Amino acid sequence: MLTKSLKDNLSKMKERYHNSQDLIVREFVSFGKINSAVVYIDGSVDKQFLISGVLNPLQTSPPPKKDDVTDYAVSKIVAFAQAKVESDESTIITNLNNGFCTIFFENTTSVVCVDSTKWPVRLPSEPPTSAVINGPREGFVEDIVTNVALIRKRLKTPDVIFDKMEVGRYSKTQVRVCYIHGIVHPKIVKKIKDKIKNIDIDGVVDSSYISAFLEDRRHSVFRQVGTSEKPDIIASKLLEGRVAVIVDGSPIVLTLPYVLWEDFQSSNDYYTTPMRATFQRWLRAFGALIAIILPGCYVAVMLYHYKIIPIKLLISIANSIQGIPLSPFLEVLFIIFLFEILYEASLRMPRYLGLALSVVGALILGDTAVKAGLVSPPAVMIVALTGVMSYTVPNQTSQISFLRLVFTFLGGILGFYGIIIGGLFLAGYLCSIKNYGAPYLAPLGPFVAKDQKDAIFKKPITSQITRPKSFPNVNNRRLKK
Amino acid sequence: MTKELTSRQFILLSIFIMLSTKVLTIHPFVFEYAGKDAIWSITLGFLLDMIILIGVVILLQKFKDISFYGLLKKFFGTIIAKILLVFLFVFIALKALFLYQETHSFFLQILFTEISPLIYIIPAVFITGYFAIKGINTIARSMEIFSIFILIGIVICMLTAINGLNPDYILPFFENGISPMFEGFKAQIFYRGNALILLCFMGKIDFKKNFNFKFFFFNTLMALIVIIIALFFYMLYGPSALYVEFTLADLPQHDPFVTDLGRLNWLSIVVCTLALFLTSSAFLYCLANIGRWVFGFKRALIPTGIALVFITILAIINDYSLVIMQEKILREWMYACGIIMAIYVILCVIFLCVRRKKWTKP
Repeated sequence: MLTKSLKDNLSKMKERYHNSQDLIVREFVSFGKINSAVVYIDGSVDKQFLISGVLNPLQTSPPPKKDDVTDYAVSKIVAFAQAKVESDESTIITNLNNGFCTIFFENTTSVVCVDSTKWPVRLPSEPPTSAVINGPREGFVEDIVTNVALIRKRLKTPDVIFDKMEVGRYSKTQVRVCYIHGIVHPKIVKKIKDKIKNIDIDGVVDSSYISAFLEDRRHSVFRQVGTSEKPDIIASKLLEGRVAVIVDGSPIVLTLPYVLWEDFQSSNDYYTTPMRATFQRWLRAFGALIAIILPGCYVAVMLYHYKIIPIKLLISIANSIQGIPLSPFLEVLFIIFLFEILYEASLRMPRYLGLALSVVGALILGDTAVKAGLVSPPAVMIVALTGVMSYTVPNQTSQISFLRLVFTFLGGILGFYGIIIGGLFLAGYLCSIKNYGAPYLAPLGPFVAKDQKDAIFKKPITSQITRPKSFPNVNNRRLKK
Repeated sequence: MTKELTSRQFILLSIFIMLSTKVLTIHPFVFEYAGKDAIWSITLGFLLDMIILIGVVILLQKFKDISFYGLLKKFFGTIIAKILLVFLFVFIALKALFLYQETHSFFLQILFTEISPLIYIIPAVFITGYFAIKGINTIARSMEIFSIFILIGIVICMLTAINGLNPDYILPFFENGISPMFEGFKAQIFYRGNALILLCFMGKIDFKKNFNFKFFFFNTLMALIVIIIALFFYMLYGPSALYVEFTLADLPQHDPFVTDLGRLNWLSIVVCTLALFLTSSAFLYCLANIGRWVFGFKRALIPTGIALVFITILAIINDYSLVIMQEKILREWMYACGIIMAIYVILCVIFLCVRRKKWTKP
C-alpha cells in the first residue's frame, strides 16, 4: 500500500527493485508547489515525450483548485497519451515493467501512470528465412504491438480478435491469441487458450517456448505448430480459419491447427502463376522424398540388390568404388556425418567465415576424401544431392536430416525391405496424428478432394470457393460468385 | 457409434484386399490345374468374389448402425455369436498367414538370395502390429496415400510386358472342354471370399451419396486390372507359367529391352510389399477386433498381440515356406476355409432376408 509520504513511497519502489540502477527516480516540483517524482525504467520510455508531454505540462500548469492532484494531473498531460490513476502497488509495478512512467505526488496515495513506452525495436524488414521474389516483403519484429498492427493493417475488421494473455512468472511475457470471429471454430480457440492459461513457467523468451506447450505429442520428431515471420501469411491463415499466437519478443508467430502439407506451400506460390506453383510444390515433395530415401536406397542396392542396376551403370559404379576401405553403408554414414558437422559449424561461424567454410567443406574436403580413396564419388554425390534437396522444404530440414539417417540405417541393415518397412511406419505414424481437429497428413491422408485446390495443385484464387475442409471452421464459404 | 471410415477409405480397403491376395502367386498356382484355360478360372473366381461382395455391401448398408458382433448377438445369442466369430477368426488368420508367407517367399525369390525367417518376420510383425493397434483409420489413411503409387507401379509393370505378349499361348479357349476351368476354379477357393472380412467393418462406415456406384465401379475396375495382369502373364509365359512364381514381379522380366534398363521388378517389390503389408494390417485389425468381441478386451494391444502370436506359430509350423505351406496346410485348410466361407455366405443370405428394424433396435 502506498502512503502519503512521497519519500516513503519512493524508498518502497527502490526497495522493491532491490536498488537496481536502471530504475530512474527523478524528483521535481509540479504545479509550482507540490513535491513530486517521476519513476521509470531506463531505456523503456521515450524521454523526449516524457519531457515535453508529461513533465513540462506538470511543471508549468497552475496549481489544482481541488485536492485531487492525480486526476488534475491526468487532465493536464497531453491529450493523446494514455494516462491513468493507479493505487495498487502490483499494478504500478506491472506498468513500470511495461514501459510506463509513474508520477508520484506528496500527500497522495495514488499515482499517475503514463504510457510513454519506447522499447528498442527493429523496423519491419524482409525475414531472411522467407524471402520472396514477388509479394510483400514485410516481416514481423520482436515487438508485439508492431506485430499486432501489421496483422490489423491487412485485416481491417472488428471481427479480428486479439485476446491478451500473460505467461511467465518472471518474464510476464505478453501473448496474443488472434483469430477471426465467425470463421474460426470456437473449440480450437478454447483449447489453445486453455493450454496457454495452464502454462506455469518462470519465463518465456521466445514463441518456441509456447509452441512446445501447444503440441499434443511433445516427444515427436515432427513439429505440430505452424510458424511464420510474415504478416501476409498469417493473415491468409487467419482467413482460412486458423488461430495465430503472437508472443512478445519473438518475430515468429505460431499458427494452429497445423498440417504437414503447409510446409510444402510457400508464400511465393500465391504470387506466381498457378501452374508454376503446382510444379514447384511437386518439386518440393519430390525433393523431400528423395532427400530422405536416396542414401538408404543406395546403401541397400550396393549391399543387397546390385542386380537391379543396369549392367553398364553397375560396371561404372564398381570401378569407382574399387579400393574403398569402407563398406557402402559406413561410407554413406561417414559422409552424412561430415555433412552434418559442416552444416553445424557453418551455422555457428561468422557469416563470411561460414561461407568460406562451406566452400572448403564441399569442394576441398569432398574432393580430397575421394582422391585419398576414403570415399567413392557416387556416395559423395548422393549425400551432396540429398543435402541440397533437403532444403527444398526449409521448415522440415532438420526432420529430413534425421529421417535420412534412419533410412540409411534401415537400408544398410535390411535392404529394400527395411526401407519399405520404414516408409510404412512413417506413413502410419503421420496418419495417426491428429492436431487440433486436423489430421496431420490432411488433405492427403485422409484425402480431401476439395482441399486439393491448394494442396497437391495450386489452382487460381478464383476457384478456391471454400475454406479448407481438413480442419473445422464455422464458415466454409470463402468466395461469393 | 462413431464412423471410423469414410466411403472412399472403405472402397480403397476393399480394393487393397482384392489386389493383395491376387497379384502374386494365384496365377501360376491356377495354371497348374487349368492349363491354358486358367484365365477363365480366374475370371470365374472373380465372379464369385463379386457376388459375395455385392451381398456383403448390401448387408453393411442395411445394418449401418450396428457392429457385426452386435448383429450376431441379437440374432443368435452371445455364445453362438462368439463361436461364429471364432470361425471368422480362423478364416482371417489363415488369410493373414498366407499374406505373410507370400511376402516372405517373394522377398526370398526377388530381393535377397537368403533372408532369415526371423529377420523377415520380426519387422513384419512389428509394422503390421503397429498399424493394427493404431486402428483402421490409420490403415485406411495410409492406403489413401500409397494407392496412387501402387496404381502407377502396376500400370508400369503391365506396360513393360506388352512387347512380348503372344495370344497363341491362351488360344484356342476350352480346347479340353470346360472341366480344366472348373478344376482351376476349385483350386483357388482359398484365395476367394475375402469380401467376408469386410463384415468386421459393419457399423464403422460413413456411407455417402453415390457410394454404391463408386464402390462397384472401382472394385470392378480393380478386378479387371487383376484379370488383365493374369491375361498378360499367361500370354507372356505360356506353358512355362507354371514355373514362374510371382506374376506381377515377373512381368517386367521377360523383355530383354526392359531388363537392359535394369530389373524393373523393384517397382513390383514396392507395389506388392506396400499393398501386402497394409492388407495384412487390416486383417490383423479385424483379428484383434474379433478378439475384443470374443474375450472382451478393452485395449487393442492384447488381442493384436494374441493374433500375431497365433499367426507366428502357424508360420513356424509351416517352416516359413510358402511352398511347404501349400503342401502341408493349404491343401488341408483350404477346405476348412471353404466351409467357413459357406457358413458365412449362408449367414449373409439370412441377414439379407430379415427385416432391418427388428434387429437394429437398441
